[in-house]
Amino acid sequence: MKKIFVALACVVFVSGAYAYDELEFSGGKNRGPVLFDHELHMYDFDCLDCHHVMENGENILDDADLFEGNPDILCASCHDSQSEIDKTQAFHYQCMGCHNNYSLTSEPTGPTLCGECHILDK
Amino acid sequence: MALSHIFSWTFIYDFIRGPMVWISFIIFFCGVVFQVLRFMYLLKEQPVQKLEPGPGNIIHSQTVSHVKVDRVKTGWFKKGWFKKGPDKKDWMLWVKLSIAGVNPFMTIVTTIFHVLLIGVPVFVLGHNILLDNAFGVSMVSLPENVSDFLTGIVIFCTLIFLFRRLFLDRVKIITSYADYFFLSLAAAPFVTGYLAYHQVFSNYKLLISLHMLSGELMLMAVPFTKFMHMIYMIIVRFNVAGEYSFGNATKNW
Repeated sequence: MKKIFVALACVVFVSGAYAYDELEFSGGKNRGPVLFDHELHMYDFDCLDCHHVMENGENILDDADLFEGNPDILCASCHDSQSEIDKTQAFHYQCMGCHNNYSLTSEPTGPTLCGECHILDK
Repeated sequence: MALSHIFSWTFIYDFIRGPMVWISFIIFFCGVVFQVLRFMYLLKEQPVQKLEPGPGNIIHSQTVSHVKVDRVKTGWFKKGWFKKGPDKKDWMLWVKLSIAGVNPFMTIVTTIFHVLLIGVPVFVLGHNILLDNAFGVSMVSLPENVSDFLTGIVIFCTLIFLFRRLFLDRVKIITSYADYFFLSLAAAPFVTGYLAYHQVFSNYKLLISLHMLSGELMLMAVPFTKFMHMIYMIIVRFNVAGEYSFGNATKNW
């Protein structure tokens, strides 16, 4: 019985990390929403490659904070209209910046053009 | 680098959005500077009668004297005894004889077209976001539905130009294939941008590549083709004496 609880706890904990298959980000005032395949990115990257709390140029985010439902790990919790890099810029810099870096080395990567992420609802 | 790599789609795409942008801007700026210097070198100082802006020279000119002959006849004391300044009637005549007065419709269309042709690309949101990503600086942007509407107006204006060239006799006889080519080259970035924004074709990347390529071709064509009126329009008016000149334009070309 105890083993089952441990196993269940593991499933809950792991599924917490794997819960976001596809996230939908708001496209702002002008464009439609952007679908982000979180699971796809988890194959190739560490969580802390993207999730960050920057202090003096270093990522000080603790791995343990990355659980589902934690409001503090959402991008918009720091990147709001008051911050130096607002929400739109945060997504554009992080997504397009990384995709562009990979395309410079001719590695397969994600989209870099407006309409490839902001797909028009028809 | 293998030949197959150079002709591969990804290489062409990366070339169009990378080095080609710099090449086209360098050709544009160097070409414009060269052409302006060449133009200034060919100008000759030739003092001519200074033409005042406004209707002053219309009142006393021989060429249009028939238009206002009855008014001059009314007062014997006005016949050259002292020069009369322009009044409201003269201003109306001046406007009527100007390009805007002769062809008001085309004046409005070309003014709107040229303002938007320069203005819309500068204030489009997508361009500014790319600038922000690359250099961290950007202009204020228009909302996308507004710039979409303005792009539609630009395309509509080019259609007016096209139909004018196709169907208006006095324009048709001075139109060659090059004119159609340059008209379509000016319209191409707007048409491809409009189609890309509305994502009408499934191949978005191809459309954006054509958008970038046509814009770069247009930019490179500016110093060496009739697009040079973008620069010459200004420097001609400030340098060459004539009825449309600004300021102290006293030179002859």
